[in-house]
Amino acid sequence: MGEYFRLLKGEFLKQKKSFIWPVVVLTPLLGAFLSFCNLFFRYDYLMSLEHNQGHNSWQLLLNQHHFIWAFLLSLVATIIASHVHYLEYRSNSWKQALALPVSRANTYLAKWSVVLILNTLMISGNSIYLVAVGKGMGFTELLDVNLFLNYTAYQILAITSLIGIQSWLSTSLNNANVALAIGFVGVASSLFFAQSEQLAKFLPYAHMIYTLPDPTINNAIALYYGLTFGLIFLGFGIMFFKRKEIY
Amino acid sequence: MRDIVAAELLKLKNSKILWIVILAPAFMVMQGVINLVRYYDLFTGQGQNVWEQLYTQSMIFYVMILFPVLISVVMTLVTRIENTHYGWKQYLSLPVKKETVYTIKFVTACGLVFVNLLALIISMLIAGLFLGVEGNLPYQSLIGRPMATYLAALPIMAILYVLSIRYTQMTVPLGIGIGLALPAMVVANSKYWIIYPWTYPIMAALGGTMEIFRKGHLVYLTSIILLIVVFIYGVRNFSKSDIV
Repeated sequence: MGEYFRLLKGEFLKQKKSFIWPVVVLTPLLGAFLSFCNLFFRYDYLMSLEHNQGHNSWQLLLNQHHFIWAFLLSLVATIIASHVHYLEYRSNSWKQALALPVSRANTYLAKWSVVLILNTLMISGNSIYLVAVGKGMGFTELLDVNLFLNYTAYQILAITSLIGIQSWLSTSLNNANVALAIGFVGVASSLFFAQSEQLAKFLPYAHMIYTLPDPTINNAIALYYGLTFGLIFLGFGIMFFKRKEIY
Repeated sequence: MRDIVAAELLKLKNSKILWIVILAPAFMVMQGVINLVRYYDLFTGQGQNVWEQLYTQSMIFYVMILFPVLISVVMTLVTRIENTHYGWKQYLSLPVKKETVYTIKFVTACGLVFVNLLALIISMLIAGLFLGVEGNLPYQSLIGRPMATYLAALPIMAILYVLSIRYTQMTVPLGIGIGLALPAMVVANSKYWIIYPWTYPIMAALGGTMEIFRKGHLVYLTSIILLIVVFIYGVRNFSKSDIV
């Protein structure tokens, strides 16, 4: 366990001077800013729409925010997963990293954990910024803390499947751009996949769409399938990484 | 100059970029076809042109998300080799003109984006024939609008190319590319779309049927001017920069 934490610390050190940190901070800020603009200009119109009848301001904010955020987060998660592995290819340091007497499973797990932690920070930041947007806009209704906590938790569980598959692809493919392109195509078509619950269950790119806490959305897909596929792909990734040949 | 072109093409040969630019739009068209077949009655029940519906279903997520993001990928890929292992230092210590290198790399990248749109058009045509769509081919939609989309995206290509050259970490052009592409989905639905170049490809591809798109010629003119301005800025910056 000590080895894992040392590797994790090393992974964070590698990110110290990278542009990942501004990306992690700015992504939720951008998402929240877009939602602020959207509601600032169109609040009355959106509230008057039939499908928003009965929703309070906080629910409206989440509903409006979710479909931009699901894409934004998934795309950035794809970049982060590639970036963490690309660093080794870029500096040609896989050979050195894997020649050290450390467990390959722990090395992979440390990289996967960094991606998950950075995404968790973005997801948490997003929820905090959204509360600030609501407060800034002067919503009169009481803040529905459970709504935001559920939204945050669902996203963290759902994103594990996307992180799992993208980390696996990024390790398997020497060319980071191929892993990125596969991820981007998957994310771009996620809304299509999500139209069918049966299909969406088995496609990690669509799990994020199901994280909005709303009675019309089946959150179980995000919760159970997101986590299950996350763990399955983590297992695949470790297995593959253990056998990876380094030249 | 011919040698530089040959070297650039050689670098891309094993990068799988051609697969990316061809298969990505083909996949989006496949998605569009599945959606069209699934909701066929809804989309064509009132006598709508099936080719038009096929175009819209294929294009909607392609142009809003995948296309601008793929431009970022292509731009980072054409500078990938130089951005790793101090490649710029080796490349530019050769007797080559910096301006020529910059221009050829950019033209190569723009060519790849063009192949991407050609793959989209061909995929739509094949999908239409496969589905047995009857009626005249709407050339304006299937060929004209993707070409207009390409023209409208030229400033985006130039901006992301400048970023890919400037920053060796791929996170920067990719992050900025995505960070600027996503707001376009919101801005394109507002009256302010004209001031945000990232909405131009969306408007060129999908705005033909929207009443809001009345400033088409202005968009193409603005795109060309922006392309020239950003390109000149990029060349001058690249020529003056020290390679360390």
